[in-house]
Amino acid sequence: MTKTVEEHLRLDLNISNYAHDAADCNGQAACKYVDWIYVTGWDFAWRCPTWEYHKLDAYGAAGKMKIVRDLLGGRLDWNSPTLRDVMYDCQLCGGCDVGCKRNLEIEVQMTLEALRKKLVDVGNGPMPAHVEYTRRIEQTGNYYGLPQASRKEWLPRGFRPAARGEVLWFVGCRSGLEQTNLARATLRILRGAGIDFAMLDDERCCGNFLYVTGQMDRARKLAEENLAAIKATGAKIVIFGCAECYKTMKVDYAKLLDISTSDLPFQPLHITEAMDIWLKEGRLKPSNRLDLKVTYHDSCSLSRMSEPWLKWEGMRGAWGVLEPPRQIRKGTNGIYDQPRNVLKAIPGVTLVEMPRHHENAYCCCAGGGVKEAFPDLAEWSANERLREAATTGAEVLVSASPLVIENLRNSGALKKHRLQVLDIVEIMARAISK
Amino acid sequence: MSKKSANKTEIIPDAAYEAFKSIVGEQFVSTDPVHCQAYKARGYGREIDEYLGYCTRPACVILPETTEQVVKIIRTCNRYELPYIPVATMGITLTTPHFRDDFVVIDLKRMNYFYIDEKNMYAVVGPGVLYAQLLAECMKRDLYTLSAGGAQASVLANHLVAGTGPLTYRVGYSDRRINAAEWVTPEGDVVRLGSGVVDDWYWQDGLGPNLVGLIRGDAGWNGAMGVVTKLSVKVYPFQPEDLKREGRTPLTYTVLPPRMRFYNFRMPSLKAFDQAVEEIRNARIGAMVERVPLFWRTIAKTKNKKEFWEQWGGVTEADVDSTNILRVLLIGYASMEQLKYEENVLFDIMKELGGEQGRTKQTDQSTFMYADASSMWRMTGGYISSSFGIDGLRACTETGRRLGKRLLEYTPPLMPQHGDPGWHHSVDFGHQSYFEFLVYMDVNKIDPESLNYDKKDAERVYEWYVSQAPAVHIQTGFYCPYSRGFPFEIQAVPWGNFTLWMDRFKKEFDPKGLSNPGYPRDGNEGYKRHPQFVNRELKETIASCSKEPVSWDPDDYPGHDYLMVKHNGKKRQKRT
Repeated sequence: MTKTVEEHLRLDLNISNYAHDAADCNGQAACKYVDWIYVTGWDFAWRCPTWEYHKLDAYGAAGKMKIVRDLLGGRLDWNSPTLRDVMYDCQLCGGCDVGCKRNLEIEVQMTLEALRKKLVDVGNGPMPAHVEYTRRIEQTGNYYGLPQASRKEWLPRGFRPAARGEVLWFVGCRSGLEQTNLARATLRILRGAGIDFAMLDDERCCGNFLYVTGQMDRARKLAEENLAAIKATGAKIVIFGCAECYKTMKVDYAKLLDISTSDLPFQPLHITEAMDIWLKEGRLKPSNRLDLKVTYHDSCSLSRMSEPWLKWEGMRGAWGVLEPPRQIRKGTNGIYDQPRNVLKAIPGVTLVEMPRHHENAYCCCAGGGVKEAFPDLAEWSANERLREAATTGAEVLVSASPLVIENLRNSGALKKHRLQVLDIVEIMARAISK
Repeated sequence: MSKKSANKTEIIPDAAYEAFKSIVGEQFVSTDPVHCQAYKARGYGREIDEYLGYCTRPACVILPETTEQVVKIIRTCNRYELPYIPVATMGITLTTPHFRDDFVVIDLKRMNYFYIDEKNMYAVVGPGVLYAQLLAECMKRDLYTLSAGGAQASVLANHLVAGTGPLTYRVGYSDRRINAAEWVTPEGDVVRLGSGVVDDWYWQDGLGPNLVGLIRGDAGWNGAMGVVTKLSVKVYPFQPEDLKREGRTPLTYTVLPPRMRFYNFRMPSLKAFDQAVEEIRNARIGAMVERVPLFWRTIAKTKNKKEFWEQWGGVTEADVDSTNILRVLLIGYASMEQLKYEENVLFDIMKELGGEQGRTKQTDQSTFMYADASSMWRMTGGYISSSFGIDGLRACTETGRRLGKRLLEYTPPLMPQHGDPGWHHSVDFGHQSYFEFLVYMDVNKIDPESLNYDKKDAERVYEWYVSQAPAVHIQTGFYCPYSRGFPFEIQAVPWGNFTLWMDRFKKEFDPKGLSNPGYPRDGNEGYKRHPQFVNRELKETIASCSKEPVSWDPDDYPGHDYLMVKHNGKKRQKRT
């Protein structure tokens, strides 16, 4: 047996680093279905909405890994329009990645993200529908293309947030410009907990949309600008109400800048993590009884996708063993318990789980650029999630992501299932209101 | 979404494509190479099939939803002489090599019909239903079945071949659990089999002879005998308490209820192991009786690939010789008293045979939901199941012992197993045993696109698979289904004339040879392409079984396309 030539690898956004991962996929479908332990019956056994919707195997991660192998081997065309549609008609929710990594050490999510970057690099991405949103973010600083001045219009009259402080609240485009009721609810919670916080004077989009659509150079530029702006505030903790902003800064900025999450100049904290801490510290006291039966939807960015990023570079040797050992992000340590702790702390709230929950939660397909380019999938998937929520007998479907809330509230199935969709900050704000 | 790609027009005629579209709708048919690439066969042995060039990308994929659509698709394929291969979930792809690049994949996942009759204990499923789904539905009704082939396997597809797992001890091989079937023949006729003949899916026979044998078997037809669109399968009574689901990924598991218990015993020798299996059989106790290879235990104990190699690197032949772990599951199906009784009997047997009880967790991820099946790929990235099948206990253990020793000669390039005799479990209350011998290789060494590809290593791996393991099977008399590396007709020499009858059935039902073309002659094609993988020992072993000289000239045997019609007098143009 010949000596193994060690192969140098980096865990980064270069698709050629994932040739081995693509070849190693054994096609055993853990990417497409719920962890087998948690399959509860014939219905709701699927994990991947895109694959369930389209049915063709090209839309599932195992099929995509076979496609990647032939792309890297020169047997498929990088400029194929079908290739672009298949790779972008995916919400990058991380379900496949977590499913596969239950048993294997294949970087599915990174392969898919690196693939989008490559498609942009060769001029076959992003989707035409993504171009306008990219323009808005670059020219106006926000996803909606609205004047930046309108970002703080929802603030109570006379309220002037500090420009510097140890705790910074990053509001996000959706709460700051579109779903301002969520921003108001978050403000009530922050004030209710007695938190001294600062806000950016000219907050700009986090760049989530640019990152997920594979426009990495644009996303990197925005990341550098945002980090500089945050650093200037002196913040040690940044609180996010938006799961996408949270994941983007905590995980994707680290990937873009080739650092680990722990190298960021601040600690990212989602509002659910913060509320969990404040409840335990006694700073937040939900006293109003709500008498609601709720079910909780784990938004992908907050749950399985939010584990800290760990920079890695090394060698692959005999039997595929990596040196130095790479700690695999498997979705185990996402934010799952904190939002549930928060809900359970509210008097009268009864929490029931859907068949698919925690790392097996079914994505609503609002993210990954899907809502903009493939709205049919986003609506279908939201309808499916509402159908699932309805089976629990809950009155309210709670989540912790303005993007998800928006998609679920726009679902055609909402009335049919007689469900109310609320962000967790709305519930908490009700529970602490005087 | 689905468009006909310009570079496929020469393979799938326009008229055929239009016909497909009218059958299933444009959304569910595609000839685009990107869509088709996802159906390039993988699964067990994928490394060999792909790296030897035995796997090709299909020319078309089509997804029917009903039996009527399947009928129309097959008739269209016959009309335009298009080869086709049915696939259910692609969770495991055993549908043999795809030497051709002009075939249509019929993806049956939309056909996920499901019905369960809990009173009469059977389920009727379409090809798209997985074991995980069936088992979860069964357990809601205090029933169970075996997730043979893994939770991700299609219940229907797996019942057409010998789907196995340790729970076969009570419920038997999956191909023996078929009550009735709805079958679309290779030419597109619908036939009901078993009790389906009288539209009653309840038991195994209908009026007249039972023709279920036409579609099922130890190796089965691997998609070469049309499409089974509906199947009625038996399910079995279980104990009544839930298997509680716990844990976060990757450490998820079910917790056994009080009426179920696992036991591990370290047996002093392989002989004592065999005796224990026989005594348990004679006492008619147990829900599962098995021996697992030592490296599986190491996989289960380690968190990642590196940890595995650190632990496995320290194992010796002496360790393997002294580690014959007998793993038993007892279930008090009727009561706690039943469990207590069986436990007492088991302990008596172990006392007599010197079995030393070890610790074992009362949780499960491998027996019912098969959640950790994929972890078998973790340590190397690839493996081949070079031996598998049913036989008597002695034949299984002797074959395992010999293979374990012979493997030492192939180590490296194959992963060291230190003489481990493989995986055994008892079947049908001990009437038979199942044996499987897995060999692992560093896939980087056999992948032609890898920086570390090594032709000599790769050929040594293939030689094990094509020649060495089959030679040992023939020497011990252990029956193992077909090889992809030497002619079908030669495989018949030690085992009898089954090939003649398979040919007759194939020609009768599929005269154009369109249903998974090549099968069962994949071995012929493999041998034509790579005769060097057949070694002297195999040739001599086969010669010793025959009174007549055996020809090893590849030209003496028809290739994989022996039944295929020639299009307009010539083969289809190959894609460039």
